[in-house]
Amino acid sequence: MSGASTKKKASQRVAQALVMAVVFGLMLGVSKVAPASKGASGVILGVGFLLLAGMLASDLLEVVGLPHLTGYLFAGAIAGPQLLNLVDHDAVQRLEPVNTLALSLIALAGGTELRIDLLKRVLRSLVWATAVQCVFGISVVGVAFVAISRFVPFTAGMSLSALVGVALLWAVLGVCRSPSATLGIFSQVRPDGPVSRFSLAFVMTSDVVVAMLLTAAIAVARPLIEPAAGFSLKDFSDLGHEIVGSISLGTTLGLALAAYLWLVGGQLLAVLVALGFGLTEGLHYLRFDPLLAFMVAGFVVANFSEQGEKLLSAIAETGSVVYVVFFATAGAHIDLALVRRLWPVAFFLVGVRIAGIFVAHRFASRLSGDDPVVRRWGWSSLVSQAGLTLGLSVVIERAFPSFGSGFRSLIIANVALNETIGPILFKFALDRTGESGQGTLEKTFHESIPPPPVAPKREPA
Amino acid sequence: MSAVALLLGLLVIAHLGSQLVGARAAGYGLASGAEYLVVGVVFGPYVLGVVERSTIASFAPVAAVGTAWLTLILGVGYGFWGNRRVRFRGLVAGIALSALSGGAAAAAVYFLAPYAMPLGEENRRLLAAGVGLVSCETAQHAVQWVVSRHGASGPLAELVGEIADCDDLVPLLGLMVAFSAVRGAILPIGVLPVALEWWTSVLGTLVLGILLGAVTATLLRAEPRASDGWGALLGAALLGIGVAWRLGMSPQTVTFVLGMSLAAFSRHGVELRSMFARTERPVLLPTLVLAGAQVKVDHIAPFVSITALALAVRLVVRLVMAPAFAGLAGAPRDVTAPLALGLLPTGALTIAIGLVYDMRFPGPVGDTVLAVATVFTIFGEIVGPASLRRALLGAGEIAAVPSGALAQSGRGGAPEPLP
Repeated sequence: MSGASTKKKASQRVAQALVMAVVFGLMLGVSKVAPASKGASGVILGVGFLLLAGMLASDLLEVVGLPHLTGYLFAGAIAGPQLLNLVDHDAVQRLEPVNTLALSLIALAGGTELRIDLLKRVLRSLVWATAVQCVFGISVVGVAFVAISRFVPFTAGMSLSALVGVALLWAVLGVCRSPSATLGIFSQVRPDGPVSRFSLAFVMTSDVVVAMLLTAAIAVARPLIEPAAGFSLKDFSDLGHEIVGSISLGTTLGLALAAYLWLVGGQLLAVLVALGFGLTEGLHYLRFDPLLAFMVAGFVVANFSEQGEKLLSAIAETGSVVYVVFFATAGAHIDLALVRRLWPVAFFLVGVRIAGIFVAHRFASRLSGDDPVVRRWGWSSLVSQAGLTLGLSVVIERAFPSFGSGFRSLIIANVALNETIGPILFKFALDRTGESGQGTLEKTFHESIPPPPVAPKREPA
Repeated sequence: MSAVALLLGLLVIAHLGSQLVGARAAGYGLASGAEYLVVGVVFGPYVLGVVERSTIASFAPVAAVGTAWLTLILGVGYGFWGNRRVRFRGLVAGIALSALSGGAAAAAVYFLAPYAMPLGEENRRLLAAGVGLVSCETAQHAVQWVVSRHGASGPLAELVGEIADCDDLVPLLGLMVAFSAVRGAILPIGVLPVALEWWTSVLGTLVLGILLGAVTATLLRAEPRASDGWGALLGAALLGIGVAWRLGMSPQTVTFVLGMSLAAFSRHGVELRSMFARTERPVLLPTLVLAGAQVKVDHIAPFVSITALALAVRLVVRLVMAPAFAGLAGAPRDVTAPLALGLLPTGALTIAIGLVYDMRFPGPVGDTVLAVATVFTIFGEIVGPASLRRALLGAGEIAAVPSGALAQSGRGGAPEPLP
């Protein structure tokens, strides 16, 4: 488990519940006295509130064994525009840059966790799992989508070929995972063992695979959905540019970071924040993938320099702040009305996806000769979906405006369910396999503070 | 050019400038910090014009959070010199010097203002209050810089340190009153503050700060992981800042009170002070650069007259009080003149107040207050450290060192971490 954080006394839990009531009471009072106003103050207030409420909710839900991420999501959903509206829609929208920063730090942390020796150890599992998950997962989810299509509002009136095209796109998004959720669970429980090693390697490398699959799927689906359109390889050329560019820039950034850590080392947090904000903007301008670039940068620092631990330790210090903001904002983003409207279809598709992941994993594990524990629990980390899936759904929405909006709505409803269920499953698996708490535990707050400087002397001269 | 890229560029330039100016200026006793301000002024709209005012305005939230974080740091360390509590006489001396200095400067500007610039009654009061608030401080950094760089040790050094620590209370309480007195303004941060009664606003500021301090102390008591601790601190600070902005209260006072109550309620005050000191410089740098870039002087003559008057008042108050301070510390009477000049430096707090005043009361009032704060800081950092060194030498609290030795051995102006 997560070290110090799990050994809290009942009195501390009561104190936390009281503090939670105070924080919510304060926000309710402020919302009543001064209704939401547009502007940066809403963002400042929103981040502060989500940080406190997310941390407290996660600690309180920990009592029943739920992961911290669920607490963050829960706090965000309760406080968000759909329920209490303590964090209004405008503030949620304006939190986008903060999310960008969080995502870049998460990607950097992910890259730093990936070691070459780890990849070598799980290479066989990785290849089989990727192949089987892609082929089997896409087939099962695609067929299920076609089967249920008459209940899906935006497919009404589509020809069978168009339906197959849309199902292909849907199925490809089904093989998308969530690096942020996986790393969030890692940050909380600090696991080590076969399941966590497999999960880390698989989820972090799946980003590139999914990007390639989606490009191929769009190219194949376009003539099926829009018969007038022909098959085009231009998308592949753009993808190649994006992937090669991101890896090149990420490598350069990694080398620069390693040099900085070696030569200067100070104010690392400020440097990371500046990189997160500044470089992400530049990467977007160049049409590169910031997630991939930051992941490669972390990978380079961890594997081709001796500065990996220093970088990881600096990122770990931001851990809670980054994950709370990211997932609490995601919680506030959850469109509960949409989930309520689409829940039968969404539940069916989520169920089929999870079943597909489970079966595909068992099959792939058998082929690659994985440890029994990986064979039994390795699938649990593959359920979570979050920002990456939503980002890719925007790509589809832009590529196919005729049905893109409805498609995205259903994706949002599915992601809401997957990002709630996934972390719970993964943490449960890590607890059951005994891998939780086997990694390096983070220092407690007071252990992390360096001794104060010596006070000035009092004696007269 | 995007605003983010611009800010990052400015920060890099300021950092490089700090390295160059700090190293070169070691022999003249220039404490580092003002160079960031100067870089901001030089690149701002009124010198090179690299940065436009509209661009700077988009960083109002950064400035709001940065200044409030600085006052949070001051609040956590308030009443402590090193790791021990300041003595009662130090507390009284600090508050008295600050109140007298600010009050006298405010009164002088209030009476001069009609002759210097055409202002309505409310703006005249606000200008006087603003100049008074930026006239209160004696910069802790400058004092600490002299004490640590020259190895000063003795009653006078301690008393000056205690004064510099304790004088922060007055301007921050004053800022709270100024924010509470004016209602319904539209701010660059995009808030239309609620029209609370002034006493409700004052009470709300204090209660909010104390409440959030207690909340943070409770959260930290659970010995969370390091990142959880930072999350609790950041969350409470941002919540306080956001609530204060939305209700039209002073966020800087809220976080100052939050810091004080956190230090009072927490069992880990020493560690908290050490920890917050680490965050000061990264926050100070962008705040000073933004403040420098925000400086605007439309009419030179009224600005010069107001600045000269306030500076003169600050000096007179220090000249009047310096003999009492020297007497309290048992120092010879001939140190009073250098001591008065040595108490002139202003720093992070003054700039923070100037900047936030400019955001809260945009127009001639805010512009003048920020410009006065900038002049005070630059002037004080040039004159103050050298004078304080002379005063401490005269009091026998610094060992005499051959001229030039310090310049060779000095670190180039960067101040030591706060005690």
